[in-house]
Amino acid sequence: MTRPAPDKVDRVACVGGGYIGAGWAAGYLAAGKDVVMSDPGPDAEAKARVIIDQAWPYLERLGLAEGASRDRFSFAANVAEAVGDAHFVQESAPDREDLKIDLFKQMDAAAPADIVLASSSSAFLPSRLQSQCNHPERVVIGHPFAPSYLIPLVEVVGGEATDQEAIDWAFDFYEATGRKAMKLKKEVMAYVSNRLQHVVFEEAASLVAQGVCDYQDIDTSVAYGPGLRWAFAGPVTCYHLGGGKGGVRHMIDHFGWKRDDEAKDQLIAAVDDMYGHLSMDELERWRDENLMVMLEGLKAPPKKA
Amino acid sequence: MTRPTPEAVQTVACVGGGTIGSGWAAAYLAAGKDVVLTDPAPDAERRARSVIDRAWPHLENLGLASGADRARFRFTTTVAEALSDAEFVQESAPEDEALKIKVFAEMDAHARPDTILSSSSSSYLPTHLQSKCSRPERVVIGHPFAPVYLCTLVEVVAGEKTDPEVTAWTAAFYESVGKRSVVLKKEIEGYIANRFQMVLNQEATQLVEAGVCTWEDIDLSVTEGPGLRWPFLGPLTTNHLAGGRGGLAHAIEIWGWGGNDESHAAALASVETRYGDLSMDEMETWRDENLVRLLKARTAPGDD
Repeated sequence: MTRPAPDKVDRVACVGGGYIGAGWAAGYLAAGKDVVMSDPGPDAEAKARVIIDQAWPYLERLGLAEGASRDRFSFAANVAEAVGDAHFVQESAPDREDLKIDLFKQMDAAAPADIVLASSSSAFLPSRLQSQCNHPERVVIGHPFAPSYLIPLVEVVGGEATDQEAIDWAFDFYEATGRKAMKLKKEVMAYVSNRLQHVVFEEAASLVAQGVCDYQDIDTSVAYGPGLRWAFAGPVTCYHLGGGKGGVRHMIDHFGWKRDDEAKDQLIAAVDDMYGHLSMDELERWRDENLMVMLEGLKAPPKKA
Repeated sequence: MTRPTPEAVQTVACVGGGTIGSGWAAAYLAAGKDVVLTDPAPDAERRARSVIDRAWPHLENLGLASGADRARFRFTTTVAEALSDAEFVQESAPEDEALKIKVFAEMDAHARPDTILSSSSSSYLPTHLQSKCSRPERVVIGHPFAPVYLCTLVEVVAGEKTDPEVTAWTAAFYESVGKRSVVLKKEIEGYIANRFQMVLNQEATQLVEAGVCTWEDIDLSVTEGPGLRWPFLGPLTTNHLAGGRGGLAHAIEIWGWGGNDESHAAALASVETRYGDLSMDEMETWRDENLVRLLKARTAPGDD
């Protein structure tokens, strides 16, 4: 057994050194790991170091783990060398399914048999990516959001052949490196978060096509409206807050509920679980404090003279 | 002509004093206006004052206009008295179309002829709300976001009979009180931002019902991911940055474009207009700067 406990990982391999892969490398270095990267692209090492250097001052401001150093970054000649003695592998090759399937086959052959292999894919089913592996049970999706050195969310998704243990391990590992991980209960194309982004963008394109507004208005209507809340209160929390003193129950009474009772009970139970210990007054104060953070802390994009 | 220029408005009437109406009252007081609020509910004055008092410290932190004072708030039980010397009217009655149509007819009868009547409705067509007014040309939607005293966005929507001058005046008025106006080019139910919230909620519900994730995860998947970018990027700018050095054009090459050619061209032109003189490096620095600020400053509920 070479798989360490999730909080005992010392060496991470990053396969693929583009914007996502190099961002991961920066994040893992800041979490105090050794990082070894491989990427066949010309100048890949230099390009990755530029991204790591760009990320570093921000990671310093958020706080580095003990022992974290950019000197603990190294570049390997090939995939086999990178993953050979890694405790964890983060794959971030271009988002092409055939290429990723082939890469997973290579990583699977070269990495120790029980090391977890995670893909940064933003769309593909893990069942497909693990299909050519001898040890498919250790293959998961660990999908980050750009910039991967700052955005906390990682979606963890297992395929048909993935062990639940590998999924749990990946979840714990990401949390141990300061991420906010979530486990999907089943695989679905594009996972959760990008599907939510996708429907918003589709609606935006439809409104522009109908002549309701232009694209500048699309961004303004998000960034100055609900987007201000979405940085700390998700759609469920916003729904609960929308009901005022009566919370989610008032919201359902007032606006009606179009789906079945089971879904309704599930939503109410989730809200009670998240916020049952807080009065609406306390929640509203929390919302207002955070909105103040947004309003006082954000900068407009730089303007040129 | 009794209608002042937008920035010269002194007296605003708020019709309806719930969370939305009282939030508007607080915002207008902070902008240095006299505010007269009317609401038929028992206890309405006390409840409105408690919303205003809770909002006030935040508004002070953001900066009050010269002369702004909570003592400039007044309550009356009748619409007629509230509107008698108002230079702008913000209607925030409960979201019930028949009720709002009635309230607009009543306001139209009592307001001075040129005074603009703006509805906080979050969904109805202004053409319906103005249908029983003798001066429908001065009726618009001015839809805010909760909490009204902090969220900046106001969607301004005209009905079939709204005078375009009224729409422009209203947008300028909201900007003059520190809001950010978006003027819709045509009316549509739910306007813009609530349609985004609606499609997002629908997709979320489907994912939960399909057993993909829990409701708790739906919130995480927004607040810990793309939601962190949305307060300053918006969906189109997010895609522009997703394209890396090649920006939006490159993002579209990789992921394709779901809309038609016209919206494709409009999207590229919009990014060019806004960010054409900024390098992607500068854009990324701006994004990262804002993300670090938000990550360091935001709190979890119950933290304090």
